[in-house]
Amino acid sequence: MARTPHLAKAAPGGRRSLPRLLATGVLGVALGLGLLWTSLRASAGSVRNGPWRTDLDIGSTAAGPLTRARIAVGGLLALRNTEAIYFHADTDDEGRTLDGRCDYRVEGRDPGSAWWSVTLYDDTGYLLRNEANRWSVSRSTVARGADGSFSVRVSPTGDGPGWLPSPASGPFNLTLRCYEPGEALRADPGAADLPRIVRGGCR
Amino acid sequence: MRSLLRPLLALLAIAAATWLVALHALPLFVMRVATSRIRSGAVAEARAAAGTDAAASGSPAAGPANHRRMDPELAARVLERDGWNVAIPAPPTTSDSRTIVRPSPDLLYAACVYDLSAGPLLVRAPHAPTYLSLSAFAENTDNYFAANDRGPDGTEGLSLLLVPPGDSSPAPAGAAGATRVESPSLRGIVLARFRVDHPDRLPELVALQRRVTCDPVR
Repeated sequence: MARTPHLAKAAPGGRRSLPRLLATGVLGVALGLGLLWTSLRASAGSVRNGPWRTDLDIGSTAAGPLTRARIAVGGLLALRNTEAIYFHADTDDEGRTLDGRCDYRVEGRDPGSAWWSVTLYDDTGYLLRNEANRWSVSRSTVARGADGSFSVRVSPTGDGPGWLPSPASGPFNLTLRCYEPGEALRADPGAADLPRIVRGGCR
Repeated sequence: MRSLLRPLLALLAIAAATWLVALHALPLFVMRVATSRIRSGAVAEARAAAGTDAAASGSPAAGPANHRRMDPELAARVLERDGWNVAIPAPPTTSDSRTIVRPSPDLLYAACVYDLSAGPLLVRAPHAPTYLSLSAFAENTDNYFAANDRGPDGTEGLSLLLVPPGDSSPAPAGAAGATRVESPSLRGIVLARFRVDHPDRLPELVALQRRVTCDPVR
């Protein structure tokens, strides 16, 4: 490769300077994208409530670039918190990753919103194929006890309105949507009484 | 020492710049991909319905079995506008729904991918017995407007006059009574969400979903 004497002078030992420059550039870009990927994975919502996480800036014009990017990837077209608050869980109450080989119970009371639903997604964020065509339970469909509380069985097999099908194996996650959230829920979603996610038996 | 430090600093600077640029470009990119998928899906459905695409007719491209063929009038509008500025009813959400990540199986969606460079749009959605919301998203994914039909203002449904950024012209006569909203970007998307509180209610709600309109207004 022809190089001008001027360049050679400017970069002592510069025989390797162009490849080195290229390598630095490629590595830098790769490192930047890798860091972005990690930061999007890590910043799963600033507000924690048991296994649930949310962010009040979702959809808002006040959202920081990181929140905006995370929502774009994980929940595009999510509504702002006046219309809905989205809680996301990929672990049980004890912080263990939700796993298709285990059964779970999602139990609690109506959170402070006009309507709510709990939807199960696979780890790519889409609904899980199942024979019952059942992907969620909601305020309208959930089975309740005499005191108004509910308990949903999350398991690959089951029946009835208290069952939410999970995959036979592999990770999955739950989204709790609270529509028309009340003042208290919006003011402090971290303190709201949200459903527990209790692990049962594992295969 | 110095020979190591300089490339290391350059590496970090490039990484930081990449991180920053990609972070800001990502929402725009994801939004563009999603809206063009919605538009191209609608155009494919419209072609199938209009019978202009012999290969597609009778194929599963028209959606699941419970999703009717696109209405011929709607198909004509979709083809004429290449999927822009027209309300597109989505099939009921199932495990086959892959256009947008984390779709809700409890909602019926209708979408209008807009471009306001030719002027304002009027979006109308009928009142639902369950719940209806209209929301608008800028090209950077910001949800700059959301309203539902639960309040006293929603008993007749919702209507939205969507105007381009900086537009201060008086509301067109055709948009009387509509809520005027200025979009922060020329392009974006409006979504109507109808709550399906019980599967038995689906036919009734599908009929309402098909009455959502999104059209240029003068």
